[in-house]
Amino acid sequence: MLTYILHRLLWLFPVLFAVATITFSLMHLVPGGPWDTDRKLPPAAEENLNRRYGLDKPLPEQFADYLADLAQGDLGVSYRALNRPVSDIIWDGARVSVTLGLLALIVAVGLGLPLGILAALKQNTLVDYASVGFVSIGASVPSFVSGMLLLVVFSAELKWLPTSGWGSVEQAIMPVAALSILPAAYIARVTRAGMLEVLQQDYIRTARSKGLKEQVIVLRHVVRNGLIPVLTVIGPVAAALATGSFIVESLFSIPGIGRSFVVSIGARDYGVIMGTTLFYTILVVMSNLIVDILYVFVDPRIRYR
Amino acid sequence: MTLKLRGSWFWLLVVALALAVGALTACSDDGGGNGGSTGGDGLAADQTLRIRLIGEPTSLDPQIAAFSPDVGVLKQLWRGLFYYGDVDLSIEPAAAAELPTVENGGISEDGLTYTIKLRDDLTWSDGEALTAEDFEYSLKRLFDPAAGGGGYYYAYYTDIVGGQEAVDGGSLDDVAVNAVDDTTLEIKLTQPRSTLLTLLALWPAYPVREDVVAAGESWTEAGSLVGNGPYVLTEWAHDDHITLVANENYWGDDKPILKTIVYRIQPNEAAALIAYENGELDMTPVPLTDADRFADSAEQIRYAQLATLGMQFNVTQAPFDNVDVRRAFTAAIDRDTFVNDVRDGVGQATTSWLPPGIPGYDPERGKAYAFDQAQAQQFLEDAGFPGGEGLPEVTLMVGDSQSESLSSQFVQEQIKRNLGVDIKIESLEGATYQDRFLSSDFQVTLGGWSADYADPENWLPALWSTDAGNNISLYSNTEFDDLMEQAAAELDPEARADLYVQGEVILIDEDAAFGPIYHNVKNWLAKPWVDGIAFTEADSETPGDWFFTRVSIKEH
Repeated sequence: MLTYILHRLLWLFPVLFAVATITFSLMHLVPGGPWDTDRKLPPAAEENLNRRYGLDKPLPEQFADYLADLAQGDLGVSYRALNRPVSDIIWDGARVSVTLGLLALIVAVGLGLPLGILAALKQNTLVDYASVGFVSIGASVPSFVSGMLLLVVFSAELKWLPTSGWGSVEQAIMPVAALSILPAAYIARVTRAGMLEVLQQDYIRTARSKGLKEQVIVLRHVVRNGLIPVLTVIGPVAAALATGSFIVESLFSIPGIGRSFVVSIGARDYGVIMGTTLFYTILVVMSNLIVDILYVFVDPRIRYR
Repeated sequence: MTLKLRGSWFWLLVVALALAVGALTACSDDGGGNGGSTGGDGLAADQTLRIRLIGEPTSLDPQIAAFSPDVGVLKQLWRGLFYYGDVDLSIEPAAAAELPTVENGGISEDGLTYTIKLRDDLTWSDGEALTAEDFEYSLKRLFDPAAGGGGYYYAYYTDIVGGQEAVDGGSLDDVAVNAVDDTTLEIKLTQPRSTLLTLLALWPAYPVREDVVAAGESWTEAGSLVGNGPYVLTEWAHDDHITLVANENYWGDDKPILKTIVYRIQPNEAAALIAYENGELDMTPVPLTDADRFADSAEQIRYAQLATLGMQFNVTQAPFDNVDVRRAFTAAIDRDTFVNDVRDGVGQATTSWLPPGIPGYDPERGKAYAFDQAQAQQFLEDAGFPGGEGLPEVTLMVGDSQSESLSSQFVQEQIKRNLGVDIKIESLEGATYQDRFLSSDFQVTLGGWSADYADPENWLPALWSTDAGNNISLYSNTEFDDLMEQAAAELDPEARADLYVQGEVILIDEDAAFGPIYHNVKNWLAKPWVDGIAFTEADSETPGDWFFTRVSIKEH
């Protein structure tokens, strides 16, 4: 198990290198540079800036410099938020985004799991239909629509909640809600399907015929086995929540990493683009690894060596 | 704080969880309401103004700052040698003791040497004395390749002896700015510059202190930044909000009434409007799509901006290298309909390049190319393309914003309707657009200019002289260039103004180098309790921010 984890962690480095190479190439392939705004920078100033930030060197050399700095933990500085270290920007943004993502994950699991389980146990009843209804709507409404709806209802009309910013419970309610609806619906659907499949298994019939209490059957056999597919999706869902929240962050003006990532691409803020992409890579790899490890505890058939 | 990337995921998750719990239990401590209690004189007890800021400032370093969110905040944190005296944008002394003139010996007879007397009670926001040496340091820093020499605005000051040389790698010691004593600053120019005092009133000439800057690149963060203006920076929560409080050590006569200014960074106008309606903001812009809804609101503030927008041609590219084609396209645009339909009435239709408020503005300028379908078709025929026959394919390049998309469709429709010509629209992502724009890689685009300062110098030579840095249109006319050179050296205001008028006549009436459509009008909302907003045509983003010291919050 330990060697497996180590093995996976070592794989992180080639993955990071590949991602860095691709991102760096794409970033410099698109037209435009960090100093392009609606005013022209005096040529002498542009030269000074390029020299200062090493942008006057050939691209392969720039990339080699970047990797060398990266190896020492130096991610460079931002050009948009002038001279702010990229690591500061990622750290500040990630704190907010990961908090937001975790809260949304907790809500999504807390809502989606019971809903899915209930729907499967009461299949073809009103409860089931209500649950499937929620899933269909939730899965088809994108977060910017639900977010805007929440804003209009709770801020513009009822004036209960603040529209934007980050730091208080009130400010967190709407973004967390907007962000968690879709994954909640997704988790509910997968849970329901997984449970239904297990309910038809022979061993459940055996358990029933042997006279086990329904509670015991559900908790020990159905839920435990029905959750394996759910676990499969939670990894990607968690990664998506932590990384894919830029729409919600923009909508509610939350200073998270997703928003700064989007802005950095528009501004050709090379250091931030690179740093954030690598950070996302690590996040995705890690969340997949955690899920793979969790499998072992849920499904005894799985062994890593 | 540096984030270690390797092997720290677990620790990161733990911290994130702790933070999640923290966020759930923490209480809001920013902004707050303006309260309803009394502070006497009809003023609210809580003198806090909460404004929307369009984006995160790129830099709060005066010699580097270039963008509107930067400048809006800088104006509150600093005062230069001079400042706008009132909404008429007259230049008055601020840190200087008096306006230098030839009569009082402040300006030499040849206009090349300025001797500026400073007030003797100047202090920094931390209480230390501010002297002429600080101004010398800052003005030299404007040409330092590691500071202003890597910025947008030093080029306005290169008439100072040694300035451009320093940017190109020369010594800062050779820049002719000298502190003669603690309260006397001497500046030498290579040629007379009648706008020098105006330029010294702008942010690139704000003073910074050597030991503060030497602390490192994070000196512009709250807690480190030291200014000399009516407000000090107490909090800069990046990408979220900026808080300023009144400077206790402010030496100026315009003591602020507001105790606190909170800038909420909100790039999205629609979201900012909801925040305003929800009582979280005291001032916010009205998105174009909501202009109708607030047309009769008492909370609305509309003010003309020193800005002209229209069709910007690349005058070296066919078919716009032909003056008659430029005339035809310009005359084919129904500006009134544009302002009413596309801009929902927010704007002022025009045929002039200079906007109202710039000396020399004449509403009759360019009248020969006012909207007139028959005339436009005649111009096209004069150009050798009767009915558009034989006209090379025209592509209108625009950015991908909603307003540019609407405007470009309008122009396309007008050209089709009035000239019978089909033009293509090429819509580009922001930075790609800027790249093509700055390298003049287009036939025609929707462009224009907004003023850095209220002088024709910033409108004519800065964009249309043959070698001007911002001459994106690649316009070149030696007669125009000569006039601009004469005007730059002319110290008599009337003769100077006349030269610029002649210049604009050549640019617009003769050469039709730009197709003016409208002057921008800013449309904002302010809560009824925000008192004393004194907006000017030079306000870039936030109305009245040159004179926030006059603003107060009334009891409500």
